Amino acid sequence: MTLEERLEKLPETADQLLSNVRADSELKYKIRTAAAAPQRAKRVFAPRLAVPALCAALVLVAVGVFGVTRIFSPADRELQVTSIAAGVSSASPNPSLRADLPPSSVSLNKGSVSFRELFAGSGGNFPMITVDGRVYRLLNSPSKLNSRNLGSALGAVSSGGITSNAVEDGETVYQVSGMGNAMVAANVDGKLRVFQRVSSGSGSSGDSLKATIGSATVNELSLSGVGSITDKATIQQLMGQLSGASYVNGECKKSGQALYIAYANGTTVQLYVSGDQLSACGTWSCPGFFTAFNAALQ
Amino acid sequence: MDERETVGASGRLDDARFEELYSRYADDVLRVSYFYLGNREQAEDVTQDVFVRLLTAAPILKPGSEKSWLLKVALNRCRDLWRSAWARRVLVGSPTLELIPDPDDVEDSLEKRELLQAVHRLPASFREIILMYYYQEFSIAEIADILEVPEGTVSSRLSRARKKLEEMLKGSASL
Repeated sequence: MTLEERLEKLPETADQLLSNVRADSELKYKIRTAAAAPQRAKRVFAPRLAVPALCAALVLVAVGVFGVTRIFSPADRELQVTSIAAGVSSASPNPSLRADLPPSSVSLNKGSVSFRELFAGSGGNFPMITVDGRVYRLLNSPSKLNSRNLGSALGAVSSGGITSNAVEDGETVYQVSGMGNAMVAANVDGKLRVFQRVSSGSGSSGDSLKATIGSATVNELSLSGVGSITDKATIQQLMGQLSGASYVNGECKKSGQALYIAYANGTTVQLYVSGDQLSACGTWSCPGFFTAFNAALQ
Repeated sequence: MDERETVGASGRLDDARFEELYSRYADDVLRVSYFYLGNREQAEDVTQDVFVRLLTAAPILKPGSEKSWLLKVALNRCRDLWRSAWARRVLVGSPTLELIPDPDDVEDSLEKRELLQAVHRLPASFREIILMYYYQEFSIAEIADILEVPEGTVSSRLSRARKKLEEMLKGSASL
């Protein structure tokens, strides 16, 4: 493939590889908060303060140079600054932030995976599709599904038991390859977007956790705050554990931790995690999965 | 497009308009900023600055020019950051984008990652041209308007950027 051909595909490539870079509701909240804050008036620098200010600056520079040199000696390379963000946040309770320090002076645990909300919207009025009573919720990622991963057409919105508050009437709703009834896709604002099933599972309807997570090939399992697993044999073993999860109830327990199941078809399913339970809407208990996951990371 | 001329004095942007523009373009602003800077936190700061400005300055934007206005403000901010001491200290020397695993086959995936990393390593003036032309699919005339340079300059930079990119990719392939 020539460079020009590769560049022509840059939008698709970048959207695919940067699909986790999304402007979410948390960023929107920060923007609204910042815009609502009163603008500070610019201070006029008074000449009479120039000499004291210069002296203070020199002292600060001296303290900074000697202080930083001592603080960031090789023995302190693992220093991290822990802080708690102000305002509403969906991040884990004790996030560790990288300080603005010289390169190599801090390091992050590569095994750590931070929580990121994959469901679009918030509260009760989230973007969704219903198909024959099953409810599917819009996911933030991927931002555009490759059409080659579409499965069968299920029908058009506003006909044949399909409704949506996010997809226009008449748009076709598709299955996603290898995901059975666990996921659907449809055009939203000109892009093929993915919706994850969040309707309650129950013993009486025959649903199991498997109905929420599909059966496509899994590339990666990530548990926020814990780590990621990409080894195929281990993934197969862990997915086997999930198949045996026992149904608890039809409620969705939203939490600050999630299990992300990334599939080879480019989609990712998010399950909230609370203790040894997993929720997408229905809640399932699967202590064996978490034991095996932790053991696999050792 | 003179940015100053588009800014009205009529107070804040109304909520519905903000929501519409945020849902349509915030991802583009964030990704272009991230692609430019290679730092997620800084890209989010740039996106925040851009949309705060949109909310508070309430620019009068012609239909169809919203995205170019937002990206113009974002690129200006990215350039400021890139030139800053902070960028020289923290970003330069570690130009690696964090890319999510590609589900496609490994060879295809490596090629894609290699291309994105190479674009990110281009000199800033070439990088922004490639991002605007190929990623955001603006025309030469639109890019000239956004960057406030003549169209000939855009064409010339684009040509040189492609050449540089080709050299970089050949270089990495021969390693």
